[in-house]
Amino acid sequence: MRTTRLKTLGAAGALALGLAACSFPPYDEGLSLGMLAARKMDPVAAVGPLNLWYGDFQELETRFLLSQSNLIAGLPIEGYVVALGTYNARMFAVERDVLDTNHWIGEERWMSVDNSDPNEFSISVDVAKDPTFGGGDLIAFAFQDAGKYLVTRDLLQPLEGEGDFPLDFLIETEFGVSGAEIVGATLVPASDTNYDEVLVLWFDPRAGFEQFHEARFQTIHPPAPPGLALGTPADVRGGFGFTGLPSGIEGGFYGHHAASGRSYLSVYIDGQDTYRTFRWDDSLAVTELTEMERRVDRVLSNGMLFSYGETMGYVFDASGNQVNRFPLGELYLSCEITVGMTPRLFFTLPTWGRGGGGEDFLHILVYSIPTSEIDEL
Amino acid sequence: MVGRRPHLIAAFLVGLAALLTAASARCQEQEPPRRLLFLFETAEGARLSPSEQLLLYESLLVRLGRASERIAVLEYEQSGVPGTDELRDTATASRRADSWVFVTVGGSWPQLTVSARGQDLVQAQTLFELSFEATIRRGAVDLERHFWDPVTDALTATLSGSGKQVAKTVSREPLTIRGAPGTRILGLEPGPVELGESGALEIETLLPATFSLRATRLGYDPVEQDFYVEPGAGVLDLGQEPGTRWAFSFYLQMMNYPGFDASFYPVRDFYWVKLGFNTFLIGLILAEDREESMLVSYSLSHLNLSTGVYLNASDRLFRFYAGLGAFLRVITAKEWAIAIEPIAPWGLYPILGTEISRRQNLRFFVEYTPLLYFPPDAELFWLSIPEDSGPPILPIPVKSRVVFWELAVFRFGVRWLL
Repeated sequence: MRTTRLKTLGAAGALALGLAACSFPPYDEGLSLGMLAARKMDPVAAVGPLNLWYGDFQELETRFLLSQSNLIAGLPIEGYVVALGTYNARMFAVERDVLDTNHWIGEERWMSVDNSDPNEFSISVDVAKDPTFGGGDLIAFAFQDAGKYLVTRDLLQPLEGEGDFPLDFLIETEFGVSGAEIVGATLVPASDTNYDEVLVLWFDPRAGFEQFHEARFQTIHPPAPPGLALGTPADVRGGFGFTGLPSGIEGGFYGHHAASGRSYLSVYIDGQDTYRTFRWDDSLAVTELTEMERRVDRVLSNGMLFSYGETMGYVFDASGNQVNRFPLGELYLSCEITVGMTPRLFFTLPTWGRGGGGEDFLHILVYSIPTSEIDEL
Repeated sequence: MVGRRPHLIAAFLVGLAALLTAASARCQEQEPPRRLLFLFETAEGARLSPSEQLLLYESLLVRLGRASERIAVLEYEQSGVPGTDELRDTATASRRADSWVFVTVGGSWPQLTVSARGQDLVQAQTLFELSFEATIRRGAVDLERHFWDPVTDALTATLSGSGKQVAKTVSREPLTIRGAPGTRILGLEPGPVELGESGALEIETLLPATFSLRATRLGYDPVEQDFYVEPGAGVLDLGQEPGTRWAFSFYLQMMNYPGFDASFYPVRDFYWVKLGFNTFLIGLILAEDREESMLVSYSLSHLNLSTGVYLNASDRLFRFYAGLGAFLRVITAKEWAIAIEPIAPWGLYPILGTEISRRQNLRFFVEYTPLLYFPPDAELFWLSIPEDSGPPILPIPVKSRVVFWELAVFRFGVRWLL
């Protein structure tokens, strides 16, 4: 009797332990939150499944950057998987196989970065139009803080970080200023040209922190000279300073609005877990957006400012007043393209799924919304 | 004057004695008769046939019944005498008795050995303890007249000093059984009987008697006990209590994630409606790796509404129930991202469970509650299942949609019934 009872208790305990060992709900926060916003958008395409090694990328921030050239030309969706880790960035080109209509992925490229401090996230990635290949892409890795390199797709082959295309070298080449500190660089999509623009914000340490310069470059196709993806500076404005910052600015989140000529710089304030954002225009008068405590991640064509939160997306007007917030999850604002006469925002939503044989696949859902509706999401 | 004084003293003493007698009688009338539980067994190694054992048992039962007019004797009516004094005390108290006598008979017919012990629960003391050997020479006559004298004498001497008299005669009388209308009673007649709309049932029965009754009625706690009814009592009130109206439950889903329910019973203790939630915001898992955290957190919670019925009586050790519930999935993520989960916003779950307890108001329970999801987009639901340690889920095509059945969902918890 006693033995039977012990056996029963043992079996119940083993069952309970077994249950406790293996149960997670069928739920993906990033996907669910992303779908809350995505279901209000227009579905564009589903890309995948792409066979990647899930274990390697599980902890990485995986994004999908759309090929702008394909979108503009109305071709099947292609793009680039970019996985940002703490100490490296990886990238795959994703192209369409015309014969069997599946997508395939190119060889992995990677480079070392230092993203160990999430509050000083040091890399942003953009895809720019390539004017010479008529539909190709340029990849711009614009390091916001540590590296400050610009990398093109053609340069991906030797991607190992240090030896690529440092922007301070570009400044030295174009302006004769050696040792320039690059504060930020940003890609500015141009809607009515076959090229985009890259703006670089820099200063000469020997002239002091109060003298910043902004240089505007057109994207061109390398090699001309080899590895150089930017043409000669089309425009330069400078000689302005930021007042009230606690110390010299070494890096920030930098954006530009082409139509108004306004530029934005968000600087992380260490110890306060917040950002200060500054705005200036052709007058070079710098204004601090005191209402805004988040950083500017992207400047939209309608002048709105977009910022990523942990789970939400935030929209601010040009003065830094919040006009909308919406669940974002893993939705990523890949690019803004004018389709017809309408500027549209394209979001991508990456998610992992199980395949046969225990393999894991990356699926990417693509959605679009007119830029003018971003404050109504 | 002098000659009258003895008369006055005598009169005073007689009056005082009368007063004391009256007071004593009054006092005795106010106390109920003693109730004695009779425990009987044959000793290990005794060589007695079943009929001899029955004869010994019944003869002693009769003698004990006659031993005192202030002692009512109750039979144990179960196989196997409780093995310890504590258990004997418990068995005595559960029958509303206040004393017990435990008699053991050994040897072989006609040479028998008897040991007996009496215990008073009221005084918490041993009444007597004795043993003797005796030979039965004239069979049943001896048993009727002399054989049990040591036991009955000891009992009379120690237990029958006070208390009201047990009825001396058995008489057939009317008795009204009172309880909730519709109450079903077992033990009164050979088959079950039911109380009518008046909540009363008139019977003719021999009294005094002890009735071992089980009374059940929807909405009331079951009553299962022995009722001792004296002649002239007239009424036997079942004393039913209304069943549970409210209950609160705390549980762990899959031993991982906490949940809470508040239950309301429109039909007391039978039909329930439950509202609650369970959350995945905090969970405790068995980590495979020592460095892996045992705490997990998902920004997901379920709001649950369910209803169901119990399948057997509330005083059973295992009380089974079945029901059906619906759940709403709610996201509560950082930055106040609160919303209905869009991929599988709601679902249904059948409930099969059992409460396990001997107590009426505090019960452990185990429930099997497999979840049925009805996602608008089946592919998205597949993608939301965790890569590692995802739950076992069975897709079931239903017309143009797919219903997903999460097979292994159990809840373990405790329930307070008010």
